[in-house]
Amino acid sequence: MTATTTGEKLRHRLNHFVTLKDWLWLSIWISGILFIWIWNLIFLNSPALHQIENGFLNTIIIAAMVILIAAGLGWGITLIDDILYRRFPRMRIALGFLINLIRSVPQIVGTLLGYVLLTLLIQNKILTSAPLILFSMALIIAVFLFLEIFDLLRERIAHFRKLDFYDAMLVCGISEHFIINREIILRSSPMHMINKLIGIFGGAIFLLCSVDFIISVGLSTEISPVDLPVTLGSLLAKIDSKQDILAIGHSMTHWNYMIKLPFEHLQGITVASLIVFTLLCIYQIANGYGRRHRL
Amino acid sequence: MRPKIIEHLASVIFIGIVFLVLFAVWGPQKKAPSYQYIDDIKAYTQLGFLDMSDPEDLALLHETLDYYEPDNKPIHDSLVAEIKSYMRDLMLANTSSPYLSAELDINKLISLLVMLFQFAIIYILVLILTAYGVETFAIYRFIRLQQSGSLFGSIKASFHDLITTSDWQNKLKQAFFIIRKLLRGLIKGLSMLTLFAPAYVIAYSFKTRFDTDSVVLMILLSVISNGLLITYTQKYFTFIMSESRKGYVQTAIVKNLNRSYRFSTDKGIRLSSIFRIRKRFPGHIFGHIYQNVRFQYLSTLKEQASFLITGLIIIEMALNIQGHLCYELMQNILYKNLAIVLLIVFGIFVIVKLTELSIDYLIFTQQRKIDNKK
Repeated sequence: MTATTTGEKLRHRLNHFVTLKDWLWLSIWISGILFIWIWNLIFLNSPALHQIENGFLNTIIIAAMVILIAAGLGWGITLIDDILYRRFPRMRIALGFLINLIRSVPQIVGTLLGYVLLTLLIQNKILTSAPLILFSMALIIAVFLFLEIFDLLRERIAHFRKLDFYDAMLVCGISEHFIINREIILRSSPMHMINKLIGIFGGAIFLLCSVDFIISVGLSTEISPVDLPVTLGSLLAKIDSKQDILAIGHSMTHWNYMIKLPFEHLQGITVASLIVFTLLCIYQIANGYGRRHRL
Repeated sequence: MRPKIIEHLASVIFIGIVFLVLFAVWGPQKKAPSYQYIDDIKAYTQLGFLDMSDPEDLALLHETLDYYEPDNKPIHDSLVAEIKSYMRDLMLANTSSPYLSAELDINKLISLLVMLFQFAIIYILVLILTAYGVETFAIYRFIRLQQSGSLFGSIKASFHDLITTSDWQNKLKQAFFIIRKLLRGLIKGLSMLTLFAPAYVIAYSFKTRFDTDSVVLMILLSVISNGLLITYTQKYFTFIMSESRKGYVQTAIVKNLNRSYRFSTDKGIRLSSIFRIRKRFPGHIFGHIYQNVRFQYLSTLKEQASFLITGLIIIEMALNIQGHLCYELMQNILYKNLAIVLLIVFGIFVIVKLTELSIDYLIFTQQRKIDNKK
């Protein structure tokens, strides 16, 4: 009887877990990464594995920094925008104009130009420590991604301003700063923020890998891999990784070659699959989270 | 609409002025390079066993110098930095590309404008294709969901039947059904991975070299890769889902509008009408949902266009497609030709602004229609 109850409970929990798509995809992502790591531990040579580990960790660390910076920037600019809205409406137009300018610069162009600036700083020995370089890379990317947070918070504030509760709180003598920061942003919008930040995390990985790939392929004499921390994008641009990826296309026409892919072309396949698998999982996590909280 | 036009125009003028100032301050400073350690540089670059354009060899030289002369580390740093500049300048001198010299003459300007025009054409084509793809796939997905529920749900139900039923014929039928659905899920999963793969991952799976004739491949990659199609299809699908739950849909059902989502029935939806460019669903409840969703999608189109242009730039740069605008941009960043870099970035900025203006105009006209102003 107890066994049945335990079994039923387990089945019920499993059924419930499957419906929580965000948690399901998070566990799929972590399990997938662990599986890839164990496979590489067995079949890949140690220096290459060490590079992949470094590349993956750097990518994740930079993307995590991007979400923190984007959240801070988005929140900060929203507060400035709100102060201008209440006190200096004409200056708010100027802020809106500047923000729309950033919006109109394609993210990749802005990031690339930011990287050129970063390289100049590295070459002139202004930036030397690795954590500072990682932070600068994250900052450059965050400047072009924080607008999503800004738009969201501005929308939320505008929405709550229309409701009676906003006026009621004002009548009670609560300051507007308090209402916006605590009641609207901290209490009523954390789920919206988290959902956006998950999306930004994916966007940051995509942008970072793309910029590093472009730099390693096209600007390698200007910005050498010695200067910038290794990421999944720069690892993918290496000639042996590119040959490994080419083997995927080869195996499409030569099916028997497919079995060799996870053994003989492991480095490139691992890097490519880490990028693609991570992007897919993060998209699904954001989607699942949004659906679960009806955002 | 006038404030929008003024805003877009003002930003183009503002960026134009900023770029002119940047060029005036840093542009004309380019002069013939002079090297402090030219004798050492020549000696080291002539060593047969070291390739000074290779960062690893350069790092090796740096470490060796530091090892043998630990007191001269600052001099070694400057020397290595100068070797880097020397190798870059040497490469620039050897290149035959007409776009890589610092001066901007009329021929180069015309060539760049032609490239910009070509880029704009590809961009518009891809934008139309992705907009059509997003709309079509989202509608198809919604209708399929109305017809048969989710893939996971149907597999779960069949699995339950497989376990509970005692009839072997039925068990076999359910098992086949599950295998078929699982195969469909596998194909769907592989397609999802392809759709989320960055363009350069897909491209380098098939080719190692990309020439100027790769325009078709570029368009195809822009549509299917970088997660563009799937992300915005999902957004469109979410719009349809939330619209289909609104009150007016229930009212329309009460008023006896067609609501069957079967393809083959008279009161259902024709499969061909989903794939049409101008989609129409006369007499069907979905026609009203579609009209409202289209308007909501217009504001997302701006974001989609911005993401698309980023994807296109990534493709041109990552695949090193010579003779294309973004390849030239990358090369000119490499050789620090500020005038050409600013000109190309300004050109791309104008394309983005024109897109935003066109979408704002579309939203404006649609809004007037909704408000019954004209």
